[in-house]
Amino acid sequence: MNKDWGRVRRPLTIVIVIAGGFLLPFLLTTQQQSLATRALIFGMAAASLDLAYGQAGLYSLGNAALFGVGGYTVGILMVRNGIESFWILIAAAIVGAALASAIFGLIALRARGLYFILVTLALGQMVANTAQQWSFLKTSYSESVTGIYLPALGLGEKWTNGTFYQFVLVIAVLMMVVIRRIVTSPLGSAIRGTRENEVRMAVLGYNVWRYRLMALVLSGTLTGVAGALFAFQAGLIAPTNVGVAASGLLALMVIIGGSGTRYGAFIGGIIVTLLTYYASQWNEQRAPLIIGVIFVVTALVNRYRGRLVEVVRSMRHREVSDVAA
Amino acid sequence: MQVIANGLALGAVLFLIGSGLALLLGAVGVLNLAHGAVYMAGAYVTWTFGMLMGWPFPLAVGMAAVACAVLGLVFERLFRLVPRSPNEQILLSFGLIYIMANVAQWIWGPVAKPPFDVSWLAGSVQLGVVAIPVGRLAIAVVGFGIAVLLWYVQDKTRIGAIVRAGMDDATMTRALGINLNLVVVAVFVLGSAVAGIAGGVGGLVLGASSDQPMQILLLALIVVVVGGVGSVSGTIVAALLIGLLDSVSRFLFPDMAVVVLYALMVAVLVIRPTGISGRAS
Repeated sequence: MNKDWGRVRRPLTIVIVIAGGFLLPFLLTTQQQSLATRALIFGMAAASLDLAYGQAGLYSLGNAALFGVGGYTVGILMVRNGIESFWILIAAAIVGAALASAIFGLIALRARGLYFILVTLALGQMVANTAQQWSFLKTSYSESVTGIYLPALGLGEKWTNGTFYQFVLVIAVLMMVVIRRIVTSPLGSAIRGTRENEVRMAVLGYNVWRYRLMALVLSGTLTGVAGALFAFQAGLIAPTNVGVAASGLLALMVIIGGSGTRYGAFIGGIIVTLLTYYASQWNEQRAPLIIGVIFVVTALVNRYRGRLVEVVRSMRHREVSDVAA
Repeated sequence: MQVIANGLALGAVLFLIGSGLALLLGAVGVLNLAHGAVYMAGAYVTWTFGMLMGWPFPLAVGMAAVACAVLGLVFERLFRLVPRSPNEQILLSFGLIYIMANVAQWIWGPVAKPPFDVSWLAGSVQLGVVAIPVGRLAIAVVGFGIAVLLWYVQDKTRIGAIVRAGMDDATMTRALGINLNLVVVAVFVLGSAVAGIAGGVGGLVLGASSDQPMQILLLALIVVVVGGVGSVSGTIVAALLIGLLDSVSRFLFPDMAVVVLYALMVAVLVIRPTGISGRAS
């Protein structure tokens, strides 16, 4: 009996969490529903960044730009060309983000270590600057692409904040499944191998550079999907969603949640989105200060994460043994 | 000609900022993305003493250097807590950027300070047919003065030899009985003081604003990528190149000026990933 329980516990928890997530909009106000949608979207963005960050050990600080490529692609196609079909738009976003992340990867992988970080940061800001300067990427005299609306699925759907949340949840679950498949596949092991010991992987005959590029492209493409959903949900995409600060927040999400863990980055994305939202609710002007403190505290505490987890585990075990006694 | 004078002044500021970032990266292995925030602090401190309290401008810049040196000491303590882990260094520096930019807004208000107006640095000198603004000349003089000083220290003195040795082989340098911890502290303090000076003199053209940490950081890291770390001369060449390129392209095609800098960075990465004079890592 006990053994059976152990086997079903994890799938059961996942099913309950997803079902709960699906029913959540019935408990929330419309505004909270869109906050929850945004949290899911950034959860996805962080989870896909973690493919590069946690799995391949490539600290990319330019992923917000790829998020932006997805968002700008659907935004421009929708506002300038009047395309409404979700399927066409998301396909375009996927292609665009894949191309952009391949270019990013080809350039950034010329540098190594800390320089890789510098180069990704500069490339990300290059995209943000382009978005700022190029009038093609601005609509109706604003600094951003505005006037994006929720796309048509062609299934006779009727969008409300609640149903769009549920739609995004479905995509989030699908994306997590895809990410799990990548991580547990031989490709995933090879990518982790290039992180752990580059020389050994090279000696074993793996083309390290190619696996790294693959990790960056996969990560960037999925980030682009999240960016496209963000553009639909927010109704606009602006240079600030693309720049260095946004990339820094993505890195914070990944690390707060635990990079390289199963669902850590996704949960980190949700936590950070909620934290930043409530910080700006509490005090608009001092919100960056609070976010900065969260950054610093995470940086200083992160080293002790392992020890913290151990302490929590041992407490739980003691509880169990107390009950047994 | 005016464009070239602008470029030289910008190049001088970029050198001051980039050299600190490159030294931290090369000699200490710390990725301090908050280096631009130190620059901003230097600019605001200079504004406070020089403009608000009316101290003589060089003295105000001196105060900025001192204040930023203290800041560097604090930074060193913080970064010491997260050694050799890029993850935590990224988060720590992003946090410092957020905090310092917001505190600066709190103290000095959300409106950016205009370029510092110093009476004896206003006007321009006539050089043949062209008029070069004295302020820009002053920036260039300070920048290249410090450049020569740094180059001399790093390439010709015992201290420089120790820094270079630490860069190449930290374990061996320690084994020779050299206190590398002291070198780390010195690099942080010196690099931050130089960034403070850059903020002060750069303020003659750029003023002071809480957007500067990010803007300056990006220019500085392009300088570092293009110039490579480990040699002062590489940083000088890169800073000049980028300063000139930026002001020339701003003059010729103002819309796309920023993209030109990134294009230069990409070109250098493709041709020579270690930068103009970078040491092999």
